[in-house]
Amino acid sequence: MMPNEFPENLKWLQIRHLASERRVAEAGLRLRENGVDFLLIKGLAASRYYPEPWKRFFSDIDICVSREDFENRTQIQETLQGLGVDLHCELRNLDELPWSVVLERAEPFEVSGVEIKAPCREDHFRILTTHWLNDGGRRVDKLEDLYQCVTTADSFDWNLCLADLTKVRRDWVAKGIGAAELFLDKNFPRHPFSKSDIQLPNWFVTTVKKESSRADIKPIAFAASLLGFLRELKSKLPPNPIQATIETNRKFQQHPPRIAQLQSLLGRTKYFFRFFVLRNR
Amino acid sequence: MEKTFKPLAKKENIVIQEAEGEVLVYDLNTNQAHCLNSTAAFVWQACDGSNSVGAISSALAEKSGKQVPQEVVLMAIEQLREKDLVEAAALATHGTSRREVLKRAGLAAMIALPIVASLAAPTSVMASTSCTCSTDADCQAQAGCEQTCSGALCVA
Repeated sequence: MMPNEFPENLKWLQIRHLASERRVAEAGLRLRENGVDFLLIKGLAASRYYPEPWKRFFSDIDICVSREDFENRTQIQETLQGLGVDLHCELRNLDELPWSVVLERAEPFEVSGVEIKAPCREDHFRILTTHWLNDGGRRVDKLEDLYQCVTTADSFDWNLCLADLTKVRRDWVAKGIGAAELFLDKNFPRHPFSKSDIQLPNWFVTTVKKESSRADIKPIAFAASLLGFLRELKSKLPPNPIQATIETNRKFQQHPPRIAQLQSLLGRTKYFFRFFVLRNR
Repeated sequence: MEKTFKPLAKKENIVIQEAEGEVLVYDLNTNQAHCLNSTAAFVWQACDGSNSVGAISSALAEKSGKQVPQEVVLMAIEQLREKDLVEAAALATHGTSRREVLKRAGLAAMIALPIVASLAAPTSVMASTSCTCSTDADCQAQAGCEQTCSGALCVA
């Protein structure tokens, strides 16, 4: 019996899921009242692919709004106060398709009587894949989102999913499939990639194994003191090569991406020092 | 006094799910989950501010077809108050123990004694929570995190 299968845990997950649905519905209502069009990604939007959605725990509510609306984020964040919403400017680096295209073909679904929109499965699959890679492959269990997204669809249109993608993004999707197949020991049916496309470099596999065995680590920017900052920085060295590949917008190579890691380190150090100095001013 | 006391259940920002023979309750304000057995659930749902303890006790007896002393209802209300599921009422803590209730009513004729149990977040869930925040509410919305937001992290 898995820990989550204990009766008390299942009860907790069930009621917690319902509570989260209520929060999402409330967020949807408040945004609609303010005339803000939005998309829900990850979390609840991914849990609906599962046969028992409440077993797929999520904490944050990730909501994406257009760049124009994001410019008024202070006002939107006030509107959403108390709901635990993480507000994003469009799809950030999670996708390269124009926001208007993803929004246009988004899927509506009902949450506690309120209509919410999430990207269609084909778009969401890319978003979930990029998010998992961008997280450095830390959460192997989240690969299940990718598997459920494809396998529980009435028909998953790979052409739609991969149309207009650059070679780099296509490679990321392939590696997401490769990772899900390897670490979940499952096969994706009828995907258009060859074995070599989805094959993961050795360093990729090693990184995922190493990262998934690590205790949860905080983002560096949240360190409360300079000492804490340096400690967090040390725990992140050398930079995660999967994350570095995504951050520097590269394809996955056979050899560890040392240059990408260096670029990532420099970029992050610059960003975090700026954040730290500004915050402590 | 106790017989005429009319308890009021908190229903705002509360999510309810009925399960087999019990009711799951989630308080969106405190981020706490509770499991009420059928007796506690009946009492909680009857606490509408217009039903007295005596009336709730009679209604429960009628529904179950068994003897329901008022102490059973008071015991439920005490537990519900401990979990912040009824308004903090003027009723003094009754302090009736299960043993006393059983002694007074007799085991054979009794319905199930009320139980209000808190449900803890599974450890696997707590491990996956980032506990990052911009407001206190963000912390309260995350399972297993402390309740106050400081320096973008939930702290005690």
